[in-house]
Amino acid sequence: MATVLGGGLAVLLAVTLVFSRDVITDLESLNSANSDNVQWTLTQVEVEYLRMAQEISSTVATGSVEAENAVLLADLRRSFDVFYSRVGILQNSPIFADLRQDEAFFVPLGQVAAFLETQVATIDAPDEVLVSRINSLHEAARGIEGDVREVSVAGLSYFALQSDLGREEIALTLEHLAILVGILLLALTGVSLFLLSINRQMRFREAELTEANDRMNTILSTSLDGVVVTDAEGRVLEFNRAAEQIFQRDAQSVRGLRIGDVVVPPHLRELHDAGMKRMIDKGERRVVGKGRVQLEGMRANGEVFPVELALQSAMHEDSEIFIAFLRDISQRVADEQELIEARDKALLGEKAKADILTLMSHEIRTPLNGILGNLSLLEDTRLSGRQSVYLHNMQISGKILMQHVDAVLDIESFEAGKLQIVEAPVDLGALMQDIVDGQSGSAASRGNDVSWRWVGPPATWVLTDGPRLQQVLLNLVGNAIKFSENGRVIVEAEVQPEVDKQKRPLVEFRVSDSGIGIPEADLQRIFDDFHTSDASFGRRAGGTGLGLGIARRLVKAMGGEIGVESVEGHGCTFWFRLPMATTPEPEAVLDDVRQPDHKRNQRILVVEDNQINQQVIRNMLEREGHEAVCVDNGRDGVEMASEHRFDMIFMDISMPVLDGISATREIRNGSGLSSDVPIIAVSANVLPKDQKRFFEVGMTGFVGKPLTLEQLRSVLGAASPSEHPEEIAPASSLVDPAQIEEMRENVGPEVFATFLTRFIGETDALLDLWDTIGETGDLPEDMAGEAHKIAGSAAVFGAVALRGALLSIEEMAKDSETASVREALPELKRIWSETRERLEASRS
Amino acid sequence: MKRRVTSFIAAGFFGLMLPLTTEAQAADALPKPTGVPLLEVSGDIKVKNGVRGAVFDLQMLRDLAEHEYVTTTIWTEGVQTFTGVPLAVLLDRLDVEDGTLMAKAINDYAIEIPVADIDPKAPMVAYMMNGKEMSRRDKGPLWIVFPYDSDAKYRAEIAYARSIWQLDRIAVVQ
Repeated sequence: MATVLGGGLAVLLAVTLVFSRDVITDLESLNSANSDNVQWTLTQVEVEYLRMAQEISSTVATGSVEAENAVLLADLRRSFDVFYSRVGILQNSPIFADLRQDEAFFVPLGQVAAFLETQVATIDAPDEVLVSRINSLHEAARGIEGDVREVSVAGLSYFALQSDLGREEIALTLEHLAILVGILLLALTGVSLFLLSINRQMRFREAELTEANDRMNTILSTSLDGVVVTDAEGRVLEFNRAAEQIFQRDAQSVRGLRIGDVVVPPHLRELHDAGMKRMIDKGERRVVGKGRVQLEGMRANGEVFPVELALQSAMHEDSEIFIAFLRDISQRVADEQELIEARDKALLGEKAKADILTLMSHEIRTPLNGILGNLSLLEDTRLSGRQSVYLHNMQISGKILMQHVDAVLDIESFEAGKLQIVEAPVDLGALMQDIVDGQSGSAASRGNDVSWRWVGPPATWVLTDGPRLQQVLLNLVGNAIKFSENGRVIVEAEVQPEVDKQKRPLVEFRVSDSGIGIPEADLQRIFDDFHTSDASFGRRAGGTGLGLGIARRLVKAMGGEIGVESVEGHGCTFWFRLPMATTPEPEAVLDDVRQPDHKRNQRILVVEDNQINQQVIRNMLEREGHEAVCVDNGRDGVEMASEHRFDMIFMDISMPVLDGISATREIRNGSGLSSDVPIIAVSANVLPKDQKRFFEVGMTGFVGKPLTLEQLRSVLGAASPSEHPEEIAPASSLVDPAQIEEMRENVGPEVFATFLTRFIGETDALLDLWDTIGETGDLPEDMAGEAHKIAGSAAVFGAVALRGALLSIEEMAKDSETASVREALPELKRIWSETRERLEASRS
Repeated sequence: MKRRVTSFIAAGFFGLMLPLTTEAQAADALPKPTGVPLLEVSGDIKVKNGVRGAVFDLQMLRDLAEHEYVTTTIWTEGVQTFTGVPLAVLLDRLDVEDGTLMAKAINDYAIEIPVADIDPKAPMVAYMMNGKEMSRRDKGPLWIVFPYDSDAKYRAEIAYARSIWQLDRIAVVQ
């Protein structure tokens, strides 16, 4: 815009200049009059002619008067010369140059000039000659009178015309001048407008600049970050308000000082100076433009504090400046420290929690081990029908309790993300029936009725994680019972029309109760960990508050969803949906539990500090036909394992003196007789990390507490050392083969066989007799004596177990403990039948 | 205007010099002409060589100054070289500082020239043109001329009117 305008102006100016030069020239020509007063000159020619003519006439009139002649002639000559001079001007002056081209002018002028040239000789002649020729001069002068007149007239008319032309020229010049003035006016207007616009732009820019400057200053002064600007040498140029506050310095007092001396703590100053020097000398930059760095700053009072710094450079008027953005991060650093401490505390808390869980698992599982183990043993004794029912219920409840403990421990698995869902064919009906059976006792104690049913067509066999499903259902049913009194709890299962992504149908389980229900406000939080209902419910029901949290996790892990609907005071319905593929009923599995295929007569070392557990394991092993050697701690276990060869070692983990882990390590690292036999961990510590630890130190298997016969059998079958198949346990607690051999050698085979037959016969007879003891009848007479007698025989034949059993009956009989005797009898009978078998076998 | 101021200053200057110069002139009185008298200056002049005033012949004028103009004129053809006495020099010689000159030609043509209008070098009383004395038939013997080519102000009507030829008398009046 400005350049276009400028260009236009330049063109206009050039035109104006050219034009004005013309006008100026014109004006100059007016100014310098190139003509004298031509009219005067022309008329003067005629005047001078007439004067000359008059002088001539006067001379003619005087005639020959001598005295007067000299004066007259002088006047004549002067007038001639004046006329001559005047005509010379007409002939030579450039003013008349154009006129001289005019015929009307030059012809008469020629006549006049001819007269002058002709008469010069006469005028210059001596007086007497002039006087003598005066008449002819007079005649000649009169002859050119008309010519002089013509010259004058022609000149005047010419100059009149010239004057007109001159006026026109002047008019034209004035016109040009007017145009020029107009153009100049236009140009000036243009220039004015241009200057006005430039001025306005300048003012606008200035205002903008001022505004930007003000804004910048406002930003700088209101910035919460300290802003410090220095020159290339590090001298402070700007120090904003925040910087003043941060460093407790006054901007005026620090301006011009070296920044290092103002804000850098003494111990960092050397580094700072080195950095500045590097930058100035080599242009090396370690901080400039590298984002935020954390450094230490120093306040005016010498306090050193953490500061976050971002340094940028910029060019300002040919020199580099540095702009530092500074932030006092003392508070942040302190906060971070606090957070770190809080986190450390939380971690410690977590660890404490984990430790408690581990401990709890041990403390609860160990006694449970005892209970369930004993229940397991009890199951094999002769029981009445009602006892069997009670036992069954106890076992179910015991297992459920164990699962509760497991559930708590599951939290560890969940937190570690190690929850494994293992799908297997499950009979949903049986599963629900088990739950209802197991819970019927507790339900009945609160007057509740528990039942289950299919809604719609049943899906009996499905692929799912049975134990997990059971855990969820048990939790919900348990809750339903807890929060209901004299009501009903119904478990419903329904196959939904929907399927999941893998086309598995969804099965919905609903646990409905007629209990107190859940307030709407609690519905959202009910699945949270450690959520318990308010105090009043808590008192009524109690609980860890983990159950629903675990249920939620389990359902989610199994790919389902869980929810609850409730109206306070009218019971509630918990539901969850799980995808479950239906599966055909599996082939009837052989009852391995009842038909053990593992070898008997293994010699097993049991390292266990708990006497009850020790006893349970011993009993179970002996019951299975193995010999158990028990020790109370790891140290004894290591010694025993080094001195004797065992087929297997059962190793408790938590023990006094030396724990199971260390004992195992010592056994494996030593060169004792049993350094290479299978070592089975027996522990309530079932956390995955613990199991991993067991295997790391060389354990080969693992059984949880409480130990069940099934577990035991499975472990014994799997862990049997295949490398020593020919080795048969040298001794059995049931029968001592060495004793048999000793007796056979002592009495000879025939006598031995006779004795053996008699012994078997007597024992059979005695037991038959005792078998007749009814449930209410008294003990036979001298039962103690008979038992003692047979016990003695048993000792002779090495029937250790039989002897033990008989001796204990003898004691009971002596004390008339009828009930105890009755309970001991089935075991005795069992021991005898096995002993008998062994003895018969030893005949050959 | 400027010219007038300059002249005024010049006049003032000469005014201050007056007693000294008068004394000097008195010591160096104007001689009487020995040749044909060409110019008679009369009127209010302090230096005289006759009853009526100061009379100059050619030699006296030449002794005063031989200044030259090379210029064209509107009355002659081509470039002319004039030789003469600047009027200012002449007036200085006659100790004239102010007033008006009444210049007259032999045919009684008369013009007025205010002393204030006279520049130091222009006009001058030319006594030779192109190295020759000027005859009466060719605007002689004396001609007041200006250096017309040197300045536009000398090409104006007033300068042309003051360019009086066939000059023979000057009267100084207050």
